[in-house]
Amino acid sequence: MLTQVTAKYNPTCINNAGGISRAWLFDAGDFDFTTGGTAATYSAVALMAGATILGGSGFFPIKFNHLEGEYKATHTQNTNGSNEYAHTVSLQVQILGAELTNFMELNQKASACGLLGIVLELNNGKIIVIGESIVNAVVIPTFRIRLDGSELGSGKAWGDNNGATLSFKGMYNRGAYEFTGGVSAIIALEAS
Amino acid sequence: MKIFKIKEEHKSAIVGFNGSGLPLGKRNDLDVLAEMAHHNKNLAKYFEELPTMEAIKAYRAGEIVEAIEATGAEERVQEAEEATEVSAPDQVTETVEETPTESKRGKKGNNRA
Repeated sequence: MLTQVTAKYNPTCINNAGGISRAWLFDAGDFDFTTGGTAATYSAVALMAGATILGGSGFFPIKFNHLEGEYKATHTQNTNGSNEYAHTVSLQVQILGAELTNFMELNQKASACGLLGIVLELNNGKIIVIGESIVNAVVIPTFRIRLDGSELGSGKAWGDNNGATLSFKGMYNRGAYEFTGGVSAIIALEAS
Repeated sequence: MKIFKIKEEHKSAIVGFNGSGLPLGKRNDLDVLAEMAHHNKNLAKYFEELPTMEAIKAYRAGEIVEAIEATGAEERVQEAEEATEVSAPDQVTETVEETPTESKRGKKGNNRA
Protein backbone atom coordinates (compact mmCIF):
# COMPACT_ATOMS: atom_id res chain seq x y z
CA MET A 1 0.00 0.00 0.00
CA LEU A 2 1.60 3.26 -1.13
CA THR A 3 -1.04 5.67 0.17
CA GLN A 4 -3.97 5.53 2.54
CA VAL A 5 -6.87 5.50 0.11
CA THR A 6 -9.78 4.48 2.29
CA ALA A 7 -11.00 3.76 5.81
CA LYS A 8 -13.67 1.64 7.43
CA TYR A 9 -17.14 3.07 8.12
CA ASN A 10 -18.61 1.54 11.25
CA PRO A 11 -20.55 4.22 13.18
CA THR A 12 -21.87 3.63 16.67
CA CYS A 13 -25.40 2.23 16.58
CA ILE A 14 -27.97 4.84 17.64
CA ASN A 15 -31.70 5.44 17.30
CA ASN A 16 -31.15 6.98 13.88
CA ALA A 17 -34.41 8.89 13.27
CA GLY A 18 -34.52 10.99 10.12
CA GLY A 19 -35.49 14.61 9.80
CA ILE A 20 -34.66 17.83 11.57
CA SER A 21 -35.58 18.68 15.14
CA ARG A 22 -34.44 22.31 15.40
CA ALA A 23 -32.82 24.87 13.14
CA TRP A 24 -30.98 28.13 13.77
CA LEU A 25 -29.54 30.82 11.51
CA PHE A 26 -26.49 32.79 12.52
CA ASP A 27 -24.13 35.44 11.24
CA ALA A 28 -20.99 33.46 10.51
CA GLY A 29 -18.83 36.42 11.53
CA ASP A 30 -20.22 36.30 15.06
CA PHE A 31 -19.14 32.82 16.09
CA ASP A 32 -15.87 30.98 16.55
CA PHE A 33 -16.09 27.19 16.44
CA THR A 34 -13.41 25.08 18.10
CA THR A 35 -12.48 21.77 16.51
CA GLY A 36 -12.89 18.66 18.63
CA GLY A 37 -10.58 15.75 19.24
CA THR A 38 -12.40 13.70 16.62
CA ALA A 39 -12.12 14.61 12.93
CA ALA A 40 -14.97 16.66 11.40
CA THR A 41 -16.28 17.84 14.77
CA TYR A 42 -16.59 21.08 16.65
CA SER A 43 -16.52 20.72 20.42
CA ALA A 44 -17.17 24.34 21.41
CA VAL A 45 -18.67 27.57 20.11
CA ALA A 46 -18.23 31.09 21.42
CA LEU A 47 -19.17 34.60 20.39
CA MET A 48 -16.42 36.63 18.81
CA ALA A 49 -15.15 39.72 20.64
CA GLY A 50 -17.61 42.55 20.11
CA ALA A 51 -20.52 40.25 19.30
CA THR A 52 -23.02 40.08 22.14
CA ILE A 53 -26.50 38.66 22.64
CA LEU A 54 -27.69 42.08 23.82
CA GLY A 55 -26.17 43.62 20.72
CA GLY A 56 -28.26 41.38 18.47
CA SER A 57 -25.91 38.48 17.86
CA GLY A 58 -26.72 34.86 18.55
CA PHE A 59 -28.33 31.79 17.07
CA PHE A 60 -31.73 32.68 15.61
CA PRO A 61 -34.22 29.80 15.95
CA ILE A 62 -36.44 29.08 12.94
CA LYS A 63 -39.86 27.74 13.86
CA PHE A 64 -40.83 25.29 11.14
CA ASN A 65 -43.58 22.71 10.72
CA HIS A 66 -43.00 19.39 12.47
CA LEU A 67 -41.14 16.86 10.29
CA GLU A 68 -41.04 19.36 7.42
CA GLY A 69 -37.34 20.18 7.46
CA GLU A 70 -34.65 18.52 5.41
CA TYR A 71 -30.93 18.75 4.82
CA LYS A 72 -29.17 17.35 1.76
CA ALA A 73 -25.67 17.47 0.35
CA THR A 74 -24.93 16.20 -3.15
CA HIS A 75 -21.31 15.28 -3.74
CA THR A 76 -19.48 15.68 -7.04
CA GLN A 77 -15.86 14.88 -7.75
CA ASN A 78 -14.49 16.76 -10.71
CA THR A 79 -11.94 15.42 -13.16
CA ASN A 80 -9.29 17.65 -11.63
CA GLY A 81 -9.75 15.86 -8.33
CA SER A 82 -11.63 18.67 -6.62
CA ASN A 83 -14.73 17.86 -4.63
CA GLU A 84 -17.97 19.78 -4.36
CA TYR A 85 -20.78 19.35 -1.91
CA ALA A 86 -24.00 21.12 -2.87
CA HIS A 87 -25.61 21.74 0.53
CA THR A 88 -29.33 22.46 0.72
CA VAL A 89 -31.66 23.05 3.63
CA SER A 90 -35.44 23.33 3.26
CA LEU A 91 -37.74 24.33 6.11
CA GLN A 92 -41.51 24.66 5.81
CA VAL A 93 -42.77 27.60 7.83
CA GLN A 94 -46.24 28.98 8.45
CA ILE A 95 -48.18 32.21 7.97
CA LEU A 96 -47.87 34.25 4.84
CA GLY A 97 -47.81 37.86 5.94
CA ALA A 98 -45.73 40.80 7.09
CA GLU A 99 -43.60 38.82 9.50
CA LEU A 100 -42.55 36.35 6.82
CA THR A 101 -41.90 39.10 4.27
CA ASN A 102 -39.74 40.95 6.78
CA PHE A 103 -37.85 37.79 7.64
CA MET A 104 -37.15 37.14 3.96
CA GLU A 105 -35.91 40.71 3.39
CA LEU A 106 -33.55 40.62 6.36
CA ASN A 107 -32.10 37.27 5.41
CA GLN A 108 -31.82 38.16 1.71
CA LYS A 109 -29.48 40.96 2.75
CA ALA A 110 -27.56 38.74 5.14
CA SER A 111 -27.30 36.09 2.48
CA ALA A 112 -26.20 38.47 -0.28
CA CYS A 113 -23.95 40.79 1.68
CA GLY A 114 -22.70 38.76 4.56
CA LEU A 115 -22.21 35.21 5.64
CA LEU A 116 -25.19 33.14 6.64
CA GLY A 117 -24.67 30.06 8.75
CA ILE A 118 -27.08 27.34 9.75
CA VAL A 119 -27.09 24.95 12.72
CA LEU A 120 -29.38 21.92 12.51
CA GLU A 121 -30.25 19.54 15.32
CA LEU A 122 -31.27 16.29 13.67
CA ASN A 123 -33.91 13.96 15.04
CA ASN A 124 -31.18 11.43 15.85
CA GLY A 125 -29.67 13.94 18.28
CA LYS A 126 -26.68 14.96 16.23
CA ILE A 127 -26.03 18.61 15.43
CA ILE A 128 -24.49 19.76 12.16
CA VAL A 129 -23.18 23.15 11.07
CA ILE A 130 -22.89 24.70 7.62
CA GLY A 131 -21.77 28.15 6.54
CA GLU A 132 -19.35 28.70 9.41
CA SER A 133 -16.54 31.16 8.85
CA ILE A 134 -14.26 31.20 11.90
CA VAL A 135 -12.65 28.04 13.23
CA ASN A 136 -10.04 27.99 15.99
CA ALA A 137 -9.83 31.80 15.77
CA VAL A 138 -8.90 31.59 12.08
CA VAL A 139 -11.07 32.57 9.12
CA ILE A 140 -11.54 29.55 6.87
CA PRO A 141 -12.17 29.62 3.09
CA THR A 142 -15.60 31.06 2.43
CA PHE A 143 -18.45 28.62 3.03
CA ARG A 144 -21.27 30.64 1.50
CA ILE A 145 -24.89 29.74 2.22
CA ARG A 146 -27.56 31.74 0.42
CA LEU A 147 -31.28 32.10 0.88
CA ASP A 148 -32.24 30.92 -2.59
CA GLY A 149 -35.18 29.09 -4.13
CA SER A 150 -37.74 29.64 -1.37
CA GLU A 151 -41.39 29.21 -2.32
CA LEU A 152 -44.08 31.26 -0.64
CA GLY A 153 -47.77 30.44 -1.04
CA SER A 154 -51.22 30.47 0.45
CA GLY A 155 -52.20 26.90 -0.43
CA LYS A 156 -55.62 26.04 -1.85
CA ALA A 157 -57.47 23.97 0.66
CA TRP A 158 -57.89 24.57 4.36
CA GLY A 159 -55.45 21.76 5.09
CA ASP A 160 -52.70 23.19 2.85
CA ASN A 161 -49.71 25.00 4.26
CA ASN A 162 -50.10 28.76 4.21
CA GLY A 163 -46.57 30.09 4.44
CA ALA A 164 -43.34 29.18 2.74
CA THR A 165 -40.76 26.51 2.12
CA LEU A 166 -37.52 28.30 2.92
CA SER A 167 -34.60 27.15 0.81
CA PHE A 168 -30.92 27.64 1.66
CA LYS A 169 -28.16 26.57 -0.72
CA GLY A 170 -24.39 26.58 -0.65
CA MET A 171 -21.38 24.90 -2.20
CA TYR A 172 -18.29 23.77 -0.32
CA ASN A 173 -15.48 21.28 -0.61
CA ARG A 174 -16.60 19.06 2.27
CA GLY A 175 -19.65 17.85 4.14
CA ALA A 176 -21.11 19.43 7.26
CA TYR A 177 -19.13 19.20 10.49
CA GLU A 178 -20.82 17.89 13.62
CA PHE A 179 -21.10 20.03 16.73
CA THR A 180 -20.54 17.77 19.74
CA GLY A 181 -20.94 20.42 22.44
CA GLY A 182 -24.61 19.58 22.95
CA VAL A 183 -27.85 21.35 22.05
CA SER A 184 -27.90 23.15 25.42
CA ALA A 185 -24.77 24.98 24.32
CA ILE A 186 -26.56 26.27 21.21
CA ILE A 187 -29.74 27.19 23.08
CA ALA A 188 -27.70 29.12 25.66
CA LEU A 189 -26.41 31.32 22.83
CA GLU A 190 -29.76 31.99 21.20
CA ALA A 191 -30.45 35.55 20.16
CA SER A 192 -32.73 37.48 22.48
CA MET B 1 -10.50 23.93 40.12
CA LYS B 2 -8.09 26.50 41.57
CA ILE B 3 -5.75 26.28 38.63
CA PHE B 4 -8.54 27.34 36.27
CA LYS B 5 -9.19 30.99 37.02
CA ILE B 6 -11.50 32.90 34.76
CA LYS B 7 -10.91 36.62 34.41
CA GLU B 8 -13.47 38.67 36.33
CA GLU B 9 -14.75 40.39 33.19
CA HIS B 10 -15.44 37.03 31.53
CA LYS B 11 -17.24 35.24 34.38
CA SER B 12 -20.61 35.97 32.78
CA ALA B 13 -19.45 35.00 29.29
CA ILE B 14 -20.96 31.92 27.67
CA VAL B 15 -18.97 29.36 25.76
CA GLY B 16 -21.04 26.43 24.60
CA PHE B 17 -19.24 23.13 25.19
CA ASN B 18 -19.52 19.79 26.98
CA GLY B 19 -23.32 19.83 26.91
CA SER B 20 -23.79 23.15 28.69
CA GLY B 21 -24.06 26.87 28.11
CA LEU B 22 -23.70 28.09 31.69
CA PRO B 23 -21.69 31.27 32.28
CA LEU B 24 -17.99 30.53 32.72
CA GLY B 25 -18.06 31.63 36.37
CA LYS B 26 -20.46 28.79 37.14
CA ARG B 27 -18.79 25.99 35.21
CA ASN B 28 -17.19 23.02 36.93
CA ASP B 29 -15.56 21.62 33.78
CA LEU B 30 -13.09 24.38 33.02
CA ASP B 31 -10.40 21.75 32.49
CA VAL B 32 -12.20 20.85 29.24
CA LEU B 33 -12.23 24.49 28.14
CA ALA B 34 -8.59 24.91 29.09
CA GLU B 35 -7.63 21.92 26.98
CA MET B 36 -9.48 23.34 23.96
CA ALA B 37 -7.92 26.75 24.56
CA HIS B 38 -4.55 25.26 23.63
CA HIS B 39 -5.61 25.18 20.00
CA ASN B 40 -7.97 28.16 19.95
CA LYS B 41 -6.44 31.39 21.22
CA ASN B 42 -9.88 33.01 21.40
CA LEU B 43 -10.67 30.64 24.27
CA ALA B 44 -7.35 31.24 26.02
CA LYS B 45 -8.30 34.89 26.63
CA TYR B 46 -10.92 33.81 29.21
CA PHE B 47 -8.24 32.51 31.63
CA GLU B 48 -6.10 34.63 33.93
CA GLU B 49 -3.34 32.17 33.18
CA LEU B 50 -3.87 29.19 30.91
CA PRO B 51 -2.58 26.02 32.61
CA THR B 52 -0.25 23.83 30.60
CA MET B 53 -1.46 20.52 29.21
CA GLU B 54 0.68 18.75 31.81
CA ALA B 55 -1.02 20.71 34.59
CA ILE B 56 -4.44 19.82 33.18
CA LYS B 57 -3.53 16.14 33.06
CA ALA B 58 -2.19 16.29 36.61
CA TYR B 59 -5.39 18.00 37.75
CA ARG B 60 -7.49 15.26 36.17
CA ALA B 61 -5.31 12.56 37.73
CA GLY B 62 -5.78 14.26 41.09
CA GLU B 63 -9.52 14.30 40.63
CA ILE B 64 -9.48 10.55 39.98
CA VAL B 65 -7.39 9.91 43.12
CA GLU B 66 -9.72 12.07 45.20
CA ALA B 67 -12.74 10.21 43.86
CA ILE B 68 -11.15 6.82 44.70
CA GLU B 69 -10.21 8.00 48.20
CA ALA B 70 -13.69 9.37 48.79
CA THR B 71 -15.20 6.05 47.71
CA GLY B 72 -12.83 4.19 50.08
CA ALA B 73 -13.72 6.49 52.98
CA GLU B 74 -17.43 5.94 52.42
CA GLU B 75 -16.94 2.17 52.44
CA ARG B 76 -14.98 2.35 55.73
CA VAL B 77 -17.72 4.45 57.36
CA GLN B 78 -20.34 2.00 56.15
CA GLU B 79 -18.42 -0.97 57.57
CA ALA B 80 -18.05 0.78 60.93
CA GLU B 81 -21.77 1.48 61.06
CA GLU B 82 -22.59 -2.14 60.30
CA ALA B 83 -20.22 -3.32 63.04
CA THR B 84 -21.90 -0.98 65.58
CA GLU B 85 -25.36 -2.32 64.72
CA VAL B 86 -24.22 -5.94 65.36
CA SER B 87 -22.82 -5.26 68.89
CA ALA B 88 -25.63 -2.99 70.21
CA PRO B 89 -28.21 -5.81 71.11
CA ASP B 90 -25.63 -7.54 73.55
CA GLN B 91 -25.29 -4.35 75.66
CA VAL B 92 -29.04 -4.04 76.18
CA THR B 93 -29.21 -7.65 77.51
CA GLU B 94 -26.46 -7.03 80.14
CA THR B 95 -28.26 -3.99 81.59
CA VAL B 96 -31.52 -5.92 82.10
CA GLU B 97 -29.71 -8.78 83.91
CA GLU B 98 -27.98 -6.44 86.44
CA THR B 99 -31.15 -4.69 87.75
CA PRO B 100 -32.82 -7.65 89.64
CA THR B 101 -29.52 -8.44 91.53
CA GLU B 102 -29.15 -4.85 92.85
CA SER B 103 -32.73 -4.65 94.20
CA LYS B 104 -32.25 -7.87 96.25
CA ARG B 105 -29.17 -6.43 97.93
CA GLY B 106 -31.04 -3.29 98.89
CA LYS B 107 -33.83 -5.20 100.74
CA LYS B 108 -31.41 -7.21 102.92
CA GLY B 109 -29.73 -4.05 104.12
CA ASN B 110 -33.04 -2.51 105.25
CA ASN B 111 -34.02 -5.59 107.33
CA ARG B 112 -30.82 -5.49 109.36
CA ALA B 113 -31.35 -1.86 110.32
